[in-house]
Amino acid sequence: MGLLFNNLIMNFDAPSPWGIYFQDSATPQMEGLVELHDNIMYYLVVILFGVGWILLSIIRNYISTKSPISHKYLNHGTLIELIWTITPAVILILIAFPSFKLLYLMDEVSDPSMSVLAEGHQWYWSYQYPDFLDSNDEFIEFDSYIVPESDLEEGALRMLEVDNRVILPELTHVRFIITAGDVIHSFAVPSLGVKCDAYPGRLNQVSVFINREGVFYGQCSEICGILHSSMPIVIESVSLEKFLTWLEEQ
Amino acid sequence: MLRTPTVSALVRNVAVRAAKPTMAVRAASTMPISNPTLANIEKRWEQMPMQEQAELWMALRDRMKGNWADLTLQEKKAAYYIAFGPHGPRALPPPGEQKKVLAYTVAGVFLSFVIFATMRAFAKPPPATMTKEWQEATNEFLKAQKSDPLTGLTSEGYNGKGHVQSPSASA
Ligand SMILES: [Cu+2]
Repeated sequence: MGLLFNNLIMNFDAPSPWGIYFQDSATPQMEGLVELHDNIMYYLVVILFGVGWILLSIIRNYISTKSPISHKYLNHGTLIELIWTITPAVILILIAFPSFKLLYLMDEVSDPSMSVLAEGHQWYWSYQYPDFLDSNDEFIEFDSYIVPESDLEEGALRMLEVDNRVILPELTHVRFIITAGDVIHSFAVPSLGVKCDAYPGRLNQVSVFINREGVFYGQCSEICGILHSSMPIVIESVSLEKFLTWLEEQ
Repeated sequence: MLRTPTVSALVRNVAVRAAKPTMAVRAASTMPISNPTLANIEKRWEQMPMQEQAELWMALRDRMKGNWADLTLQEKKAAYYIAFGPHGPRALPPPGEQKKVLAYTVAGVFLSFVIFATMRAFAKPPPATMTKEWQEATNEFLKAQKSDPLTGLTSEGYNGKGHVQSPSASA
């Protein structure tokens, strides 16, 4: 049972074999999304079993061998129609309220301490830290390409590892500004609760507050050409001191 | 043959009138329809010319305008069969239909499987990372960077297999 639980119900912040649930969350947004999912799942289960039971009992009780008379004049029943119209409406309202609340909370970009520009290209991501200058007095800027299977360090995640990870400080409000250089891409990191389309000529922004150290994997999530699957995203969250050290090295 | 909507519209009129005895119009014909006319209607109905079908149905309808208790058993059976019986859109499937459907479905699924297996035979082998050794190394790799600390690989009391899912490379 413990093994089953671990294999099926486990959370990850890196994708897992046969994973059917969310990766471990690392931001308040993702906590909210997981909770919303669990809440809605409650209604889904009730609806699934309710409708399934109604369907099965109708099939069993009104099967032609049991009930040979056609119910030709049984056209409507006001009470049952009221019930099956109002109940779904109430359920939809119950789902809509927490959903909108979360939606507007996630939309808010709350006073970021730093920004990172993520630009999608066919087929890699390039990043810029417009708040920091490197040793040449230019913005810190780098491209982030996939590590091909042949170059992977032993045990590294195939199709997910990149040569230059995005380094971010933990417990800091970071704003991602997301755009694209050629076609539409999408910047998505499941454990951060981020999925944002990257359009050429348009700047989208999402706010991220990573509440722990760790490495978070994501992928381009808008089909963008033949190597769409080969432009992963890796975000490494480190302590503020380590982040400052990393900045020094640039 | 009469089209079902016409028949059901007729039946509805008849039913409405029957439900209100005071409104009932006395039928012109109060004589029962003869048994030979109605005998074996189930076998003959679909072969009858449309004109005859209409006439028979009209005759039955007129009979049903009166007291339904006065109908003969044959008349009741015929009226029920014409209104609700398994003909036209309610016709039963020909014998062996279920087996035929099953056979064609199985054949279709089998054919898709053959196509799939053929394409699969030409596919590349699984990537080099799909071995037990690599996946064990993946577990170490992820432990080193403290992945999944809440409920996953590096969480407290974790005893799952992590990323191990493939057989050993030597096997
Ligand atoms: Cu892309």
